[in-house]
Amino acid sequence: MGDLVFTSQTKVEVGPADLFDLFGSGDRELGWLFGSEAAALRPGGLVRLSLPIGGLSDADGTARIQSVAPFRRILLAHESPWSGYIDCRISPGRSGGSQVRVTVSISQAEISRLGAGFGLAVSPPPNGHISVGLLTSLSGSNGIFGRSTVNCAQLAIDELNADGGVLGRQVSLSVADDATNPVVGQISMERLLRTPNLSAVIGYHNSATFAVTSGLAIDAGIPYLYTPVSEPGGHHPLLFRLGGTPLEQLRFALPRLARETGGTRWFIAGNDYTWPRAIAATAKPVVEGMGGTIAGRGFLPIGTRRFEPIIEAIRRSGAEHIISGFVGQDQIRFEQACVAHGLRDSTRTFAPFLDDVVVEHLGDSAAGVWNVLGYFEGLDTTENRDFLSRYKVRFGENAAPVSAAAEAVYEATHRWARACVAGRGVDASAVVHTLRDARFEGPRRRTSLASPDRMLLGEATSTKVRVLDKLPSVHSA
Amino acid sequence: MDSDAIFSALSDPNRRAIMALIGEKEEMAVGEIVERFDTIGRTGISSHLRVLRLSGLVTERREGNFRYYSIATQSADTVVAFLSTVYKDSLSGLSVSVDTSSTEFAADERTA
Repeated sequence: MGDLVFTSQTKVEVGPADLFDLFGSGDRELGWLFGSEAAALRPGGLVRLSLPIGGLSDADGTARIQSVAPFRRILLAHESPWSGYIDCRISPGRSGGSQVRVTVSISQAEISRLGAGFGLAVSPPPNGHISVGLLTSLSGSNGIFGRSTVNCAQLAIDELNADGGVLGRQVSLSVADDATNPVVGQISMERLLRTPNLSAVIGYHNSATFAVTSGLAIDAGIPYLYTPVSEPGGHHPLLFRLGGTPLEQLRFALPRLARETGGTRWFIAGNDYTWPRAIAATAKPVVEGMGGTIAGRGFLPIGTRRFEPIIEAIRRSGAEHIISGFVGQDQIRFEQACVAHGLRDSTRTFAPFLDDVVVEHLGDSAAGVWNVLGYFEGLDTTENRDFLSRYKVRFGENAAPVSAAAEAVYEATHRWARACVAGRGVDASAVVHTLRDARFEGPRRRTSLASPDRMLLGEATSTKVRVLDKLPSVHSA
Repeated sequence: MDSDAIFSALSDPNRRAIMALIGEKEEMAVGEIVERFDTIGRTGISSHLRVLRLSGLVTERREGNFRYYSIATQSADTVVAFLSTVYKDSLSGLSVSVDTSSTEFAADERTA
């Protein structure tokens, strides 16, 4: 099957060099590839596209630069809300100025995945294959995490199939997008659960979606491996929460941050919804338990643009530390505002949602922010370097960065396969009893649900997260 | 197939969700659709369904006082029409243009 190709071209007054320089300025009025925004025109660089689709966030599309030929061509890989390639070619106009041509190609498989979101039937996986479902966010405010998450699930499936499959059967991945919206999440999960020969669903999406989808998995009798850091609760033999809890994150990070600063005062700021408020409730006893004080709290609605009042409140509170529960675009604007108002010089920030993908979007405003997660791309183990090199061989040198979300999905897929082998079957009855003890030696070395998740402390630079912890070797563990 | 009408219908996230929901069943009664959306009332759902019907995306069947909706076509042309309208605007309004009316647009299938 071929790709679908969409072409658009126009003539402009300015010459190729000037037009090339204007690419990525983020000026929507200018209209150069939807007023795209790029920090740097280099291979691997992130490009944010304001696609004209209602209901998604401001910069709802992302792409990554694959190659640049100055003044002539910029080739991008589309990462969200769907995958494909965007080829921008500039040539001198016949009578001055330039001619610009944008060619977008999207695979038939991706067209078919998108069709599912529009209510079209999905073609079933090949006969005899075992299916694994992945429910993730490829659009909406968490859409930025989706591409590498899908990539890592596919990488794990490819590895299993190359190794002869699971119990001698090949494995197929079915992907569904919750659009960062629980209503859509519920519909997508219902569809996933009807996939023939489905053995398990792996989820990376927010807790609002989990609240409605977990019951569906239980009703369908399908094991559900939920990978993000999440609040404990909703216990059921078919539900497996693979990520740590906010309490584990905070207990691990806050004492170390306090030791580094010597400070005792903490300000909790974040968006006004369940998750940031849960972080605040969890943080209070942790802070007080180590002799610290909550110097102030502030919650702002999602979509806030004016951060000056809260920054002033933080300054007045005398806090030496900020726990930031902002998400998505708000996190970016809040951190930018902290830098602009000099708060970064007098405080240290702990941001429990910050991973390699968020750092890439934050750029310079990320530098110095701390977080604790199960994985960062910069983890210095031989196993992680091998993993990242396999990822790049499979998806290209300039593929989407591997986030904690993506690595967690990779591990979950392999752990599911180990559980099938241990239970000698792919049905829920075989897997539920073996999944908890299924071990996997991956980028984070040996992990299993039976042992507490090993957390890593990371400090952001302007381009990545520097891991401040080392994992013990497998042999000494 | 009117690409602009399809794009305009599907550029609303609630209408995309309604399409995905209807696609789960052979057909759905309005009441079943309303039940699934906390934030949109019956009037809102009805007006979204009217837009989807007028753009040819869903089919309506009336039986007594009830109306049932189903996906009008299983052809991937719907997705192609939607995407073609998205990318048609990728350079639109490029303000350094001499002549934006000369913007040409084409969508075709290239065999690999």
